Amino acid sequence: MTSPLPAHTDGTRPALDTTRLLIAARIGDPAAQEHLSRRVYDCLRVMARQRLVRPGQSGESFSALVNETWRSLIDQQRVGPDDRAYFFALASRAMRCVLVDYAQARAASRRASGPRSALEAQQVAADERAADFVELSASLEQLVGVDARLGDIVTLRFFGGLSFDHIAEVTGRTVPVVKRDWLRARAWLYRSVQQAAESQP
Amino acid sequence: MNRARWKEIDEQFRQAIDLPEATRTRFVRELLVRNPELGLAVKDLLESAAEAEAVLGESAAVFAGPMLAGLTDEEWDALHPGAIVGGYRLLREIGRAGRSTVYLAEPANAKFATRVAIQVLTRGADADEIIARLVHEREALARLEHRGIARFHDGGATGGGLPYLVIELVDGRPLLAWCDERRLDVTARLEIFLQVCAAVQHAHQHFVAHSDLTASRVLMLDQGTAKIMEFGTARVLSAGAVTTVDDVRALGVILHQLLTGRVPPSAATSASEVALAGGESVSRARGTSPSRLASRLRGDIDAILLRALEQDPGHRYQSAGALADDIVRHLKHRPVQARPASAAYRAGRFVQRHRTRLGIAGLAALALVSAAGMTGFRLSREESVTGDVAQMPAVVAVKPADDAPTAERPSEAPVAVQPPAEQPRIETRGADQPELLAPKPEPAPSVNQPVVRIAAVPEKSRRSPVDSAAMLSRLASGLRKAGKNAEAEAALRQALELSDQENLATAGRQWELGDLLRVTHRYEEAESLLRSSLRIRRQLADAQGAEVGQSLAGLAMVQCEQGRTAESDSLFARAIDIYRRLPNDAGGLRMPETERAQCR
Repeated sequence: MTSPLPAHTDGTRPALDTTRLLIAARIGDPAAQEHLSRRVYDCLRVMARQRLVRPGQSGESFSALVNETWRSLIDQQRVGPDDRAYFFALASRAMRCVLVDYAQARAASRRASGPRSALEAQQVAADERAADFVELSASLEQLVGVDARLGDIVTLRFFGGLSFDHIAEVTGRTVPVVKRDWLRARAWLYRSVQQAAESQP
Repeated sequence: MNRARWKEIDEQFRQAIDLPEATRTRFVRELLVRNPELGLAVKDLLESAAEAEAVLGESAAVFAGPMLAGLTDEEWDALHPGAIVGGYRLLREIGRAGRSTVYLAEPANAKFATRVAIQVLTRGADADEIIARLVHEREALARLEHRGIARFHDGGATGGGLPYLVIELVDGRPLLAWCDERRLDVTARLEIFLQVCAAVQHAHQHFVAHSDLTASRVLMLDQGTAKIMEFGTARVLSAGAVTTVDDVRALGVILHQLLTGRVPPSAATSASEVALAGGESVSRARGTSPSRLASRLRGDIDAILLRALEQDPGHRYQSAGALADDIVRHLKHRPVQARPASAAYRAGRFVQRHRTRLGIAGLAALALVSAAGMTGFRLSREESVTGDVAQMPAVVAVKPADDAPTAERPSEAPVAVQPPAEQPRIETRGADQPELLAPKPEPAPSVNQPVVRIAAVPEKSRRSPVDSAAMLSRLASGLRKAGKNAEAEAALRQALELSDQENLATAGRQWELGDLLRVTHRYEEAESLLRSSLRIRRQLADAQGAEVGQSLAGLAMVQCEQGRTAESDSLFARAIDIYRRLPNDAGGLRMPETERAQCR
């Protein structure tokens, strides 16, 4: 499958350029990192709107989107395992940004009055979940502050949809450690959201 | 929860979750006894872990699922401060125009970098097309570098698939307000306008047209630099062929606003008239009085505007540079190209003799007389309704010497006469019109016409009815070309009222009005006018000449449209017979053979 952005916003052939960007970004070029993030974000967001948000389109996993971004933007002949690890970490963060931006947009457009129909009830439920999602994201920020390693796991697993094997590969840890980290992180996150909800009037 | 506290809890928590279910319960119970506070926290977390598994699942897709349903595109695309677009972080909304929202933004990564404006379009079915055009035009637009043009930096699609443009942030006042606030006089305004022309010309030389140039898109910086906004992007954002001459007309509109405070009215009123009607407020903002402002604009500026605002692109200034050149000529008191015309060269002698009485306004009008005289001689039907000065190849001839102030020129000022480069044969006859060489100073043109006073002449004392009539018929031609038939008719009727002589000019106007009435299906009056024009032309012009042929063809058309085919056909035959004998170069004559064939 080709890139969802056939003529990328800069009119270049995405696969080639993005690959070069990725390599430069992984070595530590800040401009390349910025450009790459932007491009991956753009790509994910377009796919998300096509495949996640459109009515009748569901069940698509985030990992499918992230993997597709990887396949469509990057020429895999020219990159190594480090580049791949870097890309998936970055793409997971980008996916998280896409969802958080979406949730913020949704929370911002929250309906004022109570539901009057079944459809509206569904909308209201969605708005509430969006608000929860914004809360979750804020908790994740806290977790990153407290334990960056756990924060990374959440990003990779929860938003990037990466398998434990894949996360182990990206983070250079063993699978059992990754699994345990994930359980810890998720519990912490949930507890944090709950506490935030409880502390609200 | 601070880091140390978390480490403490996490340490126990990590141990606990590694344990099998039964052992874990005992572990927690022991911890609760040993350190109740820590034990509670760990117990809490373990419970959370179980709930978290159910609520959060393995992927955010589960938790996010319900919120993904049913958000509209607009909601999804809403951009908030902090959002990143094209590598820039949006700071706040600074404006809305049409279908776009403009944000203040700064580069997301660089500190102390220049802020920019980001224009994001709202969703539309054509978003993809626009993005494609944007990508296509991007380089050309980014190459456009001129101090008078707000810089285009970048463009593309936002994450949400909306077209966006990154443009130079210009902190300026709108052109018209800026000039009014400073009460700039006409000359100062012209000089600023020249800046705008230069910027437009620069863009045109780089093959970029603006396509939606308006006064509000010209911003003035404090130090007096004019900046044109949205150059080239307007075209990208709304498809449609535009040409540089469209921009020239837009420049004409801006100039009109700068000088008169109004957009050009639909009826062809000269700028000086508009300025006069604008009253005190308009003239005060230009540091003068209404009458002085009007007289400042009369003549050159009226002519320049008329030319820039021509409905027919072919008759406009062909470039922003040409328009600017004429303004420079005007500022340097040299003859402007916009002022007609070749016949004025011959009129020059007359002017020299009668300048005192005619005054300056008369000078302009005289030049127009010769142009109006032309209308009767253009023989192809489309051509003949134009009465267009710009079409004539000759240059403007009469203009006073440099040192004379424009308004009150001393009568002994020398008149520079520039012979026309090339004269169509037919013009010579126009110059021989008796009215041109022997105008009657009386009666004064009636100003209380029931019709709209189109461009009739404010200075009754200075301008002869002949001049007024000529000007009116020329304006009528422009109006008709602009599709404003009712106004054209009013102007022509007024012109005919002023034409109290039976001469070729009158005959030409009769023909024009007759033809106009035919188009609007008032055949009876059309026929009587056309018969009168035929009679006069037969008496005063060559009975086998082009004028007679034109009247014959006009009559034939009227009869044809009334279904009087036999009469019509014989008139067509006579007209065609005349046309056949004319020399080939006789001013773009076209035989009415097609019309004849259609009538049969």
